[in-house]
Amino acid sequence: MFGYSFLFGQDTTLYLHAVDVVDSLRHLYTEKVPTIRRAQILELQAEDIGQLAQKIAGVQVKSYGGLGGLKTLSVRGLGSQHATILVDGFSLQNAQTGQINLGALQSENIESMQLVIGGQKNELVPASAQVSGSSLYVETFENSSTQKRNRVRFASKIGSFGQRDSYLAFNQNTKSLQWSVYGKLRHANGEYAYTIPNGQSVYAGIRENNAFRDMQTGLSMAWRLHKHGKLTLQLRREAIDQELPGAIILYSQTGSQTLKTSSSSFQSSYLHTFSKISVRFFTSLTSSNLRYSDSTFLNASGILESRYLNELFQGGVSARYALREKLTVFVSTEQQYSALQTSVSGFGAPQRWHNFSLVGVNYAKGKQRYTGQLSTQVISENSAATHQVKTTRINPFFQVESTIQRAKFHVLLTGYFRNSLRMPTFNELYYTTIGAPQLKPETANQFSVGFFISPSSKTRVAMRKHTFLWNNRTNIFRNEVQNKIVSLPTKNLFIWSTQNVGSVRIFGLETSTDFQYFITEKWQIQSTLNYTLQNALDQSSIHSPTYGHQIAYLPKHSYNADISVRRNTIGVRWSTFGNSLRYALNENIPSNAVAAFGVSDLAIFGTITRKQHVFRIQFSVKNMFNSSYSIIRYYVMPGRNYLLTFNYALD
Amino acid sequence: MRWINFVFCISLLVSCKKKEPNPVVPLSHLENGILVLCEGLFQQNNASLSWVNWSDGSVDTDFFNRQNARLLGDTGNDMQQYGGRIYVVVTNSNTLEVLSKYTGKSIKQLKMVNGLVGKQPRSITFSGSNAFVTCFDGYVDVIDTVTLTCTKRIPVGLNPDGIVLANGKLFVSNSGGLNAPSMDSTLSVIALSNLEEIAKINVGKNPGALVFDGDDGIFAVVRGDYATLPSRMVRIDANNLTVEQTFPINVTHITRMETPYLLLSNYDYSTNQSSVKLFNTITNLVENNSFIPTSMIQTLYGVYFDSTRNKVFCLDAMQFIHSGYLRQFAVDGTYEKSYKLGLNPSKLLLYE
Repeated sequence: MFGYSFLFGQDTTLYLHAVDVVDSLRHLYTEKVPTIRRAQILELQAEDIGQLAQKIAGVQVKSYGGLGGLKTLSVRGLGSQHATILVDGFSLQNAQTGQINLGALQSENIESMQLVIGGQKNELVPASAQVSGSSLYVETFENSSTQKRNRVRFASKIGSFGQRDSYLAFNQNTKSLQWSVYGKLRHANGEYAYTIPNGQSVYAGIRENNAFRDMQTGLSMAWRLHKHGKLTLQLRREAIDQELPGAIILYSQTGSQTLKTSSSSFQSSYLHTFSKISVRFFTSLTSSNLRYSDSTFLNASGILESRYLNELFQGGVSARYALREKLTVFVSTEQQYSALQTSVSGFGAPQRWHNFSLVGVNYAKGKQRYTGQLSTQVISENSAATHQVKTTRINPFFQVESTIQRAKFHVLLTGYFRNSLRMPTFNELYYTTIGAPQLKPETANQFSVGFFISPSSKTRVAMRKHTFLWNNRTNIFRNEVQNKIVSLPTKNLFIWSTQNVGSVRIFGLETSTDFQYFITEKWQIQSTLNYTLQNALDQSSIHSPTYGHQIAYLPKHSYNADISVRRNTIGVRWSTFGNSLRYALNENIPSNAVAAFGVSDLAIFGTITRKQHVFRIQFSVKNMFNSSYSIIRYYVMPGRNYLLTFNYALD
Repeated sequence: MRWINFVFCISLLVSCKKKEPNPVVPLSHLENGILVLCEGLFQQNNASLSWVNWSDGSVDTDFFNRQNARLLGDTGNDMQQYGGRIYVVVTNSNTLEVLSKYTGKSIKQLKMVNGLVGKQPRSITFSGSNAFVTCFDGYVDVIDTVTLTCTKRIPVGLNPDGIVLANGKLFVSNSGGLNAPSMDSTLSVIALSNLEEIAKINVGKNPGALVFDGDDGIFAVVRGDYATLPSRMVRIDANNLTVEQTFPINVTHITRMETPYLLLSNYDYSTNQSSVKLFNTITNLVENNSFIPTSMIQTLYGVYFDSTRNKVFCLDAMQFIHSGYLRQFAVDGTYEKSYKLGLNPSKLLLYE
């Protein structure tokens, strides 16, 4: 059991508190799941969570542009709605689009980000996250645990295309109260030159109608009520005002669409921990306003305006009970209520009640650990435009883990099966022009086996000088998707068309390797290499022209690599990622092909530490080879651009 | 350090884009074939022309690019031949491509914009030295076919779509499609003598395609609201400008056959069923409800009659997301063969 207790022990608080940063090496080489931490985030200087997530093997981020552009998450070929994004233990949901825009989630305040695909790291997170196909855990500075009394974070960025960012956060920790406040402003004109292939020629232009401005602020308070209880309250507010450039249209750039989004959320949780039992109650209330506008729309009034009000309530309780030393039982239930009101005629005013409940057991015997979970989802939906719909599903999950310990290394073997479900969104069901009320829920069966190999603790201590550390995480997976719902931007990035394409079979492999080489006391090299294979084939009908074809926008091969060289407090980092050829539609023919690409970034950074004050400056050249590429066809990404970043931390 | 070099080199190799083979072998003279306009999909820039070689059965689905070394643009909506030229209306690219009829090479690409706003051209017809293009911004543009410039904009109704010339007048269907659910219901009538709108005829919600029967009948597809109000065919008297009859027939396309016949084609979006009917414009009756068997057609998107070869060609859009097909039938309805085309084939021109 040593392996589990040291490497993979389950803590009694939220996962966030289990991995306090003491020694980055320990985390880098012992994390059970793919993890990106603050040091790496600072070097990457990602604009948002989307740019960070694409650094993880098995993850595909569909990006429609640079700063503020829509970015959605796809894990192992599954749609973004199969993944849950958890920020400080609260899941983000959007019943209207089903998509969480990773481009709107800032990265400056992130302490760590982890992707959990198999069994959860912690059973106290909301049930919706525990039953989803995968979870992206985000821990922010505001809610990270600390022993320090006062902490400050400040970041400022100046970049190409008129980019100006500022972020400031303060965190105070007293005996009974930890509280934080933060604010962030971003804006950019987003205008950049581009070239795209135009048949046998090249088409050049300037990306216009791409300005972006957003403001985010929040307040977080956590009281230690007594020895066993902790109450957390959070208030978050964001407002985004952005232009929508849409796809590049050959010979005509007349875009005039804009999108204004404002969102407020209030979240609360209470965590109670005894010696054997932990219980977490939580509630979350989110209200989002969207206003889509097209000032040159050719209708009678000469303008198109659509307003949407999304309201979401989440409430639930999760508990874990250590029945015996090696046997843990966990239960969780969560109720969500989503309502949408819109000015769009024919949409109705859909409401959805969605209950997630589960019971599970975790049993360790020798070097094996078994996890079983049975969950139910009960969905009731009501829309003025259609009849009431009720759906009940049962989703099982089972996982086996086994450790192998040798003198120089540890191996964790993992295998699991998960059945997950994702409901069609309100847009997919009811949107007047593209909605399809007959859409069925999409279900997925996930099978996965893999290993994680890392040096033993003795080796790690011995290797601190003049040698290198490494680990490797490799998984082979097979996902079977029924009634797959595919969204394609056939009008613009806000309006999608959807379809059940029937059956999809995804076979894949992901492998990730970390190295750290200590050349001398002062010099070190650190590297991460990721590769993902996804063979995602349409299996709907043998009579279909797309039978056996790769599903739209899923690359068979994707990779990313990062190498940094440091001498004491200065260093240089080279990052690259790329995708193989993809197809804009399910039919794999040359006219639907979206070209393969590879993009490299280079950064130089330096840090000065004066007592508790840490100053950091970094200059980054992004897309250093000025590649013209698109992740989504005709949503061309920026060419070579520059970013100067200054960070300050008081710890 | 060798492994760093290795990784770097691998990255550079992977980052190199694959160049697709696209041998440039332009055709020097077009004859004995069929030129098909494939609409493509909105915002995919994949409107295209397919050239079907009648003599050997081969198809070039990248014809426009091969002849012009560039793409046609986004959403090709209409294609007509006039004189020695072909005019292709590319709606979302806001262009009118003028091509040589004999080579398919571009003579001029007209920008159809009004300041910074795209006009969204839809359909085209001709009279004398003028081409008339309906534009979704509420106008019919008059294009001088000699200078290839716009000489006048004629205001009509909301989102004008179809256009047809009959007995010295232009008939324009004002769809109002972008004003859903409050679509327009009128045809504008423009006098060729002064190029002004002289009348509006109320024909029913969301009028689209128009066909002149060669005598005095204008036949219009009235598409309804795609929900409770079904599509219908309406007959308008081209002389006294009145609605003569509304036929309780679901129609999406009308094609003129040999006088006095029309082919009425329909694709039902809810049942995915297609039909081709034979309609007599003298008796105003459907003479054959299944003139062409459509069991092998997934998404009927247009029907054409080739009087020279005595063939009927059906355009199959294959659910709008797969490569389309040209289905060839004998005039007695016997299926003969299919040609694989580009995405969403909608218009064709016959070459002898």
